[in-house]
Amino acid sequence: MGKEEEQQNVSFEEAVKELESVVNTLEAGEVSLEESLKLFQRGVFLTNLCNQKLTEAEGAVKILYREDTGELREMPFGEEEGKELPE
Amino acid sequence: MSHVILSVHQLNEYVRILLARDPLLRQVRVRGEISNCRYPSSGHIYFTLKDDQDRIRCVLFRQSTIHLDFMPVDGMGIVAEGTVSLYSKEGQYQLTVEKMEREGLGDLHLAFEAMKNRLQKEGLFDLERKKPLPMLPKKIAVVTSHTGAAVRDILRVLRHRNRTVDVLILPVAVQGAKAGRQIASAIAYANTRKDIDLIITGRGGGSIEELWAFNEEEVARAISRSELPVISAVGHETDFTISDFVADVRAATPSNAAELAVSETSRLLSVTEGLKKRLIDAMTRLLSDKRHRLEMLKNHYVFRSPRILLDQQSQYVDQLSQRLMAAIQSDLHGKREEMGRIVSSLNALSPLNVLSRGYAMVLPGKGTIPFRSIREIKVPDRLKLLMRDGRIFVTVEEIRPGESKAWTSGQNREG
Repeated sequence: MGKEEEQQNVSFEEAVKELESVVNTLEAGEVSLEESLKLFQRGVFLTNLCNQKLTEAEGAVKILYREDTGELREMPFGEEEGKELPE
Repeated sequence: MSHVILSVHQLNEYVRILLARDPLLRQVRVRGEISNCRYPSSGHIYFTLKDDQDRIRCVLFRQSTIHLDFMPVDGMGIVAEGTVSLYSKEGQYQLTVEKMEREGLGDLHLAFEAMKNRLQKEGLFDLERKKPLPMLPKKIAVVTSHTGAAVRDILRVLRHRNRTVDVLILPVAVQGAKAGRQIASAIAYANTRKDIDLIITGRGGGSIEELWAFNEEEVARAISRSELPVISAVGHETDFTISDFVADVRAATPSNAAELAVSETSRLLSVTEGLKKRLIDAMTRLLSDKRHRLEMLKNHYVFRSPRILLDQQSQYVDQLSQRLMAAIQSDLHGKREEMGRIVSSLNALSPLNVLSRGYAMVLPGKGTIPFRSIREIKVPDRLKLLMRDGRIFVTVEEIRPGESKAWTSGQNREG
């Protein structure tokens, strides 16, 4: 499972590409029963991963600004009034 | 005075031909200031050219607008080149403009053209350099003014199409002397981060001077150096800047940039749903193929002549029964050993063993079941005490109830 958790970081695009290749292999039909079951499971996992990436929590809108110390900070957009913005 | 009466059309036609024949009016250059400039949906541009005394109507047809490298706006000083003709429907004469240049922009314009040509020769505009946009960016950096309309337009469209995408606004000046450097360094900064998938840079519409930062070489270089794909969205549909040419994708407007940046979630969902269906169909077909092949195998000769199979099976049964016997034998041996261990532990618990440690059992004078309580005994019963090495017959003189602890303390008192 550790492997699958790690793959949460896979991009949507990579997941779709792999899913396509899994589907193509299965459609070609030249795999053993055992192999095909493995591929199918992988395909289901990738499908769920893709859908999860499409429906996960609402994204944040942030703005970068420069602190008095010169340090760069991010804050939610709309709350930056009066802050000094980066050069 | 002529007695000929002309129709309005005939008069206009006469004037039209007169104007058209004049060599100067066929190719004339006029200096003036633009006013009342209009952009109807036809794509033609209408305006009035005026000086401190007079004015003339001008039209720039859509096919000529592609030569423009600036957007004509009211108050702009220009030199227009074109043909004077009559617009007979209105009885108005007008200048049909083919080219125009901004007055006083000459040197800057030449420098711009030279830089554009240089960058083009270097290959900065080449299509082979264009990077594909990610299918679903997780985080988009927006390099623009944080107070402008462009950032609001971009955010509105992004949210509408896909609510999961993260946005990081890198606020910069989009006009003025510092703008170019800020835009360039913001693009470079976005590339130093590991969490950005795509950059949108641009601004809303404005005059050519206001859009100028996006024509600066520094910005062009920053875009071309960017490892991350860049969408350039400067001004309106008709505005073209150097950054539009260098960027991986040119968007007509900031809103359009957001549309190009993210596909609608519903469209992507239909892509994954389509793949899911194909996955299940392929698996179903594969299983039914395998099942079909199994059916074929069942009809194989081996399965059709059970005799062969039976012979093999009975041999196997023999083998199994031998193994079973061997297993039972070794099991029996084990059980016997275990039995021995149990017997010796039973010995340790035997009452006879206890007697040898100095205890006595109390039984009825004629009986074999030991007493467990004094309540079973009366004065003057005859009892039998059983010790390790013999029996004692006694008569009960007195019975004192109490725990055996009381007996111990009683003994102490008597002692």
